[in-house]
Amino acid sequence: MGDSNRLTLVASDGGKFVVDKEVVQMSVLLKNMIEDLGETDESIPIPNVTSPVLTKVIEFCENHRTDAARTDGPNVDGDDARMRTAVVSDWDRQFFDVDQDLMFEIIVAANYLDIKSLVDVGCKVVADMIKGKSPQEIRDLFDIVNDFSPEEEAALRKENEWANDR
Amino acid sequence: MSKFLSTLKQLLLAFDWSLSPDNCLFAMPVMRSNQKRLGAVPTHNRSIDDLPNEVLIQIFKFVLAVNKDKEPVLRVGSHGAPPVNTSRICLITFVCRRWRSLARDYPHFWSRIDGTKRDRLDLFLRLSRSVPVSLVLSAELPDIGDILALQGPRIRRLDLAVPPPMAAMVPLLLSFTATSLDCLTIAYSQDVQDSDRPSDPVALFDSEVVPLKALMIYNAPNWLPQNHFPKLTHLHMGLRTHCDHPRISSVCDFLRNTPNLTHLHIHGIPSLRRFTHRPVPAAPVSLPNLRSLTVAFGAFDAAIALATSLVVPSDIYCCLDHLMVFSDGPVAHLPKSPPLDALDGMTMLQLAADDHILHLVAESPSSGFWLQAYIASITLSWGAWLDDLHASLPLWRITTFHVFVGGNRYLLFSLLRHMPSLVELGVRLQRDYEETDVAPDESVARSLYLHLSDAAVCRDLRTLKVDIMVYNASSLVNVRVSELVHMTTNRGLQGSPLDCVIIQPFAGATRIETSGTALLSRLREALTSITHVQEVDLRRPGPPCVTFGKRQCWRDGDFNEYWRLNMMQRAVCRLPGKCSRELVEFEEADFTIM
Repeated sequence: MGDSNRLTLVASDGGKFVVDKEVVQMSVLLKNMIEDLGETDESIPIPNVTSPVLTKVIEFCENHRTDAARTDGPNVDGDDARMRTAVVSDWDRQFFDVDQDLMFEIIVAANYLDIKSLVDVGCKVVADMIKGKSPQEIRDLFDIVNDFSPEEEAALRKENEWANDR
Repeated sequence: MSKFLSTLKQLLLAFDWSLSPDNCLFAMPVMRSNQKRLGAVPTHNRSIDDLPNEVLIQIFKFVLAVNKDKEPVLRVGSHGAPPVNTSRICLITFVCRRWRSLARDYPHFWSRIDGTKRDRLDLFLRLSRSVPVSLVLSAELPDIGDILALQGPRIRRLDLAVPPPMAAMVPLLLSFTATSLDCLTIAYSQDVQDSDRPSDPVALFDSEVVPLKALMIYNAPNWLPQNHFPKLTHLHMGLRTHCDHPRISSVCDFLRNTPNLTHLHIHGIPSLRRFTHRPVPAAPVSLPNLRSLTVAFGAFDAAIALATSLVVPSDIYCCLDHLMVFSDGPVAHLPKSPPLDALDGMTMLQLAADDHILHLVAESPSSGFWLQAYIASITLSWGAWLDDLHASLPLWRITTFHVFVGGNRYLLFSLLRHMPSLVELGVRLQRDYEETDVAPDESVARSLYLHLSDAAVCRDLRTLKVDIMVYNASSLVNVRVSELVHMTTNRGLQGSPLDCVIIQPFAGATRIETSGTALLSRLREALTSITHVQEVDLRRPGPPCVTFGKRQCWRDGDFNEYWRLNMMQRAVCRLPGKCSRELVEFEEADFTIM
């Protein structure tokens, strides 16, 4: 019989991670699973998340385990409040100081695992990268293909003339 | 594999079009980008393209998030309507087809609408579909009436700029169905003609009861709404000091219909002297939830009269700022401070005054009263009014008093004799009256020490702080040590000794000269003769020990919930420049409340 306060997560590549239940429960998905499973020694497979990404996700949850309240349950104050409370601390910025590939892997994993605070922090980091840049700079930054047709581009240029602020 | 398929799709898209020179130019970067992606497939796991729609939407929300500290900013006056940042959402739609589609399908992104450009207005109205919107419009916009009538039920906030030709049309424009309207601002142009008579009462939105939470009427002409506003918490009225309408009685009648106000700001209230009849109604106006009352940049008599006519809770912060006294009559006839319940619990008083400028801040743990006023006439001064201050302010409750009265040594005593509970006294002195060549009778310090020698004056006094404001440390200052020693000894012998005396003879000086060093040495030696005092602190040249400043609690964040006022509209508290140049330099920052 193992420690009832800990459980094992299995990444898509087979990597195993023994973590505190308290930490895991920042994920709404895993929290529901644990409640459904009850007391068990079974490992929980995380089929969509690789070991390197799961390592980072667990690192975030462990660091934010004391402020779990901000992710627990529905946001009663609505979206505006969520916008205001998503604070990106220095630690969070350091956490996301990784390659874009890994950054987006983490965000996708957080979304899959339903860890709102991690999704919000990741989104805010990306948003900060976008702010102040032109469409072309945004494309260059994230390697986004400009898939507008020439006709659409022309229409956009016209739209841009009056879209900007006074 | 999905990445690879996505790349192929992009390439197919690129080649679906005919190979015109334009298309070739377009296709090349696509091919180069896709080549780069293909090369990266083995190690390139995720990109922003792989984010689910809901995550991308969340990112857009953060990009578009309003900074509550900076917006909404209401620019009033003749500059038109306040700007709305619409460029960010438009830029997002220019990045790629997916982003454009996602953004345009999310109505809330298009709900803050700047109507200054017609194409933009139409696009935002269309894309915002049926969600609540905030509209910035000019009253001269063609078919504005139709727009308001059509969109009315979903308008959450309306900022309406009114140029002169449209001034008379405003009541008509504001007749739409406004079931969702929380905030309404109406900014009349400075150029709108004054009216010599009030208009008929105006019922806005064809309704007796209006659920507005915030209302601003700037440059209010000759009408005020007659609706009942049971939910209104924030009201700003910018009146015209030179205009007879609306009269204070009309303002009071209007305020009767706003029983739940928490923040009231009236700017530019005209003097009562303009009216030949009694302007303030006898019946008081009850505002039981009011937390902050500001009457600024208007006439002293009218502001006091208005504040007097209000029945407000005891935990209010009342600011009467930048008021002018236009009276030519005796200053004794000036109205006294309003009889606010909030004044009853005040224990801290700060006062800086000279003949023509008055600055007063009184505070309790949960309330505050701030008065800043100027006398325009050179034949009048604040002296008599301050002499009688005990009649309107409960000076007997004051335990901490910081004061600067220029050379008015009589006033200092006049105030102190009404402060039996005083524990801490801080006095700033002006160098002009404390130099060695000044006659003893003109020294405020000497007068202060002589008055305090009688322990019946401020019997509970325990701490005395004295600053002498100077430009630089020199030997010209006379600290009146003998009178100081005499005072402390007398009080000690009469059973009312001081615990602490702090003297700063070079307040404001940044450096000390040789002569100043010598003076300090002599002073230090002379002060050793003080008896009956536990602590005597002779400060070296530096900042004053008597500080002026309002507590943090005056900064009510809710005040800015719906708008931020520009500098010309805000109540900004400054010490009077005529008192002392040093005071302004030291205290200006402390006294800015917003």
